[in-house]
Amino acid sequence: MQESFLLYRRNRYLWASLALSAAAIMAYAWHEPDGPANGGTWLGYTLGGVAAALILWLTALGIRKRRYGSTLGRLQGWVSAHVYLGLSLLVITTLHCGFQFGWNVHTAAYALMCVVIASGIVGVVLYIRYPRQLSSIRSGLTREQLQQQLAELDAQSVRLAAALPTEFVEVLRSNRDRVRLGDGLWALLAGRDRSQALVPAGDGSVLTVVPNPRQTAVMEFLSDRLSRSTRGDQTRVISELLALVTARGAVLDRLRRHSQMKAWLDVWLFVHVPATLALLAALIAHVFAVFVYW
Amino acid sequence: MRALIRFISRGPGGVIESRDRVFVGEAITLGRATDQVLNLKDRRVDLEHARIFAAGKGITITSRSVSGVWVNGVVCREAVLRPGDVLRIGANTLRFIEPPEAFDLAFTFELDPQADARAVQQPSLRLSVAELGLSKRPWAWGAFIVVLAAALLLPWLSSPQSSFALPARGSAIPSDLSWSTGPLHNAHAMLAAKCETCHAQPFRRVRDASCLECHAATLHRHVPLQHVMLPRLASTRCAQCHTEHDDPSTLQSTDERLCVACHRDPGTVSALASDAVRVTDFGRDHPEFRVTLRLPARDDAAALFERVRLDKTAKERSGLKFPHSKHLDPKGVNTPSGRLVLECGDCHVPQPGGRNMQPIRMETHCQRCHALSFDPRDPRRTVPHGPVERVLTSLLEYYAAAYLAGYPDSTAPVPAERLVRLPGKMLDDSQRERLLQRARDEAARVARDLFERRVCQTCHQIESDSGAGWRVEPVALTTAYMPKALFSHASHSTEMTNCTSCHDALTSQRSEDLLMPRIETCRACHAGARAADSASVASTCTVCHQFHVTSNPLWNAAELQLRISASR
Repeated sequence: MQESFLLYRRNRYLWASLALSAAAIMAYAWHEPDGPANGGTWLGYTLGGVAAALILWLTALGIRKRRYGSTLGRLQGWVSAHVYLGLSLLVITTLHCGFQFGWNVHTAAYALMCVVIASGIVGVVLYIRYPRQLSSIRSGLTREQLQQQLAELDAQSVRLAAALPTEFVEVLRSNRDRVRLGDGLWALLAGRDRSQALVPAGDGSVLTVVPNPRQTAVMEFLSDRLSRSTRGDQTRVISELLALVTARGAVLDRLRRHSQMKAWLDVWLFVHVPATLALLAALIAHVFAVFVYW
Repeated sequence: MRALIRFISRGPGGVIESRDRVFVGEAITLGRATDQVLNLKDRRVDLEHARIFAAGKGITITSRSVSGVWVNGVVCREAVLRPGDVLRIGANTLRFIEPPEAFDLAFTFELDPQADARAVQQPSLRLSVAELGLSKRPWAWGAFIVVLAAALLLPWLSSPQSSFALPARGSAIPSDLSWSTGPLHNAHAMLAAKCETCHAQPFRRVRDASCLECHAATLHRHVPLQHVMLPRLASTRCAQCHTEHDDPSTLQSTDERLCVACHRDPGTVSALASDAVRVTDFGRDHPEFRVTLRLPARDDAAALFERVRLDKTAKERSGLKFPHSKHLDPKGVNTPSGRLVLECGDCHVPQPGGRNMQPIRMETHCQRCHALSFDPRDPRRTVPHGPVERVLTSLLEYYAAAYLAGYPDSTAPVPAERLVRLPGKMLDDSQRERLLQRARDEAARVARDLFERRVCQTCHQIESDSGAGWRVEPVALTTAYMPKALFSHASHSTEMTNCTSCHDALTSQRSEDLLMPRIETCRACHAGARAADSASVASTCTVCHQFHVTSNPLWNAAELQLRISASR
């Protein structure tokens, strides 16, 4: 049974992070600086050094996760420690600055750190909820297999429609060709089906492009033709087509929900990683500024 | 039926290869099943898709598949085939050609690989963030460069410490003002845009020379030119105790640990301080107050002071006789203009600013009642409040003028020499001499009366003296009893307090009573560093004491010059 990264080794890193935070809080409470607490007291320098080392080690996860042959701890342990010690960083940094904030590069570094931690929390929540749902959506198939199924259903329906009047072919060809899932970041994240299809408008003569989310337009067209069909063989074909299109809709739906969740599992890193690099730059500026105007 | 089937495949570069096959049989079957004559592996083809056979009309193809076959672009279930017809089943193309001799039918069979691929093409779906072409790398490095430029490079370029010193402060371009960690104290507000005033060299802490640029030359009242040379503080910089960029500001630190660190055990800090008393906290561990009394000095000698600790034996030695209780009698005192009830404020008037009281002056505060008059017949006539000789001289002048001018003396017995001055007649020498002598006698009598029995004797201590006849003990009134303390009467005068809250004057019957409040009086309101309850005033050392003290043997002026030159 796979062990969750949060529960790794019986929450070993949760306890470590809690102990570190508690130690920082107790030191802060005991310390009585001359004037308000700030980063320039001896405790301020200590907490700042700890926080800076933590930030560098947390960033190093990006390096460790690409060193497949490394035996320096298990990657799952690294991730577990990364999450919990990253949360304790919030406590340590806030105590380091003594709750003094202003419009300067130092508070800017703190704000960037908060963005990194917040996006990390979003990532943790996503990784708790989504992987299980992803597996159930795919139900044993890979994405390529799902797309292969889609293609086969497409081909079958187009081939079937060849036995019917040409409008059926046109409709089902357009159903295949004008499928549109994803194809845009917001559509992908929102899980929108922007497929279209050519269906006869109104009086049934002119084919117009209409939205076809979840195959609704095509299924309406087929149901309508089915109800008006008088020839037995055509009726059979149309009902076969209806079955095919319904199955195709189910496959599309799986692809859509799967890709939506997968996209969310990717996109939070687009905040987390750039913000981390920005934080590193701000951290360098912060340390430089403190000591150049010592 | 005899058929010629030519299998065509197109190689790379347009090369066409063909392979001929002869079929003899009743019908050519086409389909995906392996028992078909032509085995088509296309998935869209049925297992038994079509059948070509010779019928009465000619070569005919029929299709049992639901989807039919494409003959010349038209889907049909049955068709008669002639040379030139093109048959398409899935991705397979059959072109019918003129059959050669002895053959009933001939056609080429070609599989179009592109059609095959197209036939089973997957719809091109971009279903992941990566397939959309988005990558984290450019964003990450872009963010790094932008933040580094804005937070480090641009401010460094605008810093006077770099060789560029771009004038960007106050503009929209990030400057080194963004490196400030907090606001400055109000007193330094004019320096907010001039970091280099204090931060003179990169990567060096703020040096004393920066502070002394302003605070030594013109504002020595704030920081005296002396500086401490105790071993523990020898390497202390101004900025170690006076820190900036904090909110609330600690530019003037009130933390008592700055003082208590040494004063907890002064003897171990410096031999010069071996007689200093241990102090740690006003509320718990602070010695009894000491007052600085002026000592009466003779003959305009330099003022002398003594430091006296306030205990039961402490005495005021001003040289004056003055009981407060008599003057503050609630029934009032006798004055020339009647009975008057005196209050503290009648004599003790605060200085402007309310810190101490104005000095007591005889002429201002006492003479209203203690008029130095000596002749009941002329009560407005007074002796001067000055040296004994001046008093005697003025008395003599008065009586001489009185007698020689013919002042009637009703107290004297009728003299035989009483003369009635005739108009125009002058006194002769013996008469003048006699009158002068009487004046001298009268003056001497009155002087004795004043110096020994009343007027002068009332307030002063007087002894007989061989020279002028009497000697008045010098008087020294102390104005500031606690000159080292920061105390203001103005800040302590409230609705709830009056003079007697701290100064026990109403019951003081003796002149030598020292009416300054002792430490317990102040502790009624002032607690130590931590207020004991909500009614106490938390007081650290700097509430009453100054740190930079001018007149203290521990502070050495010459050494400061050495430190200034060393730190430049």
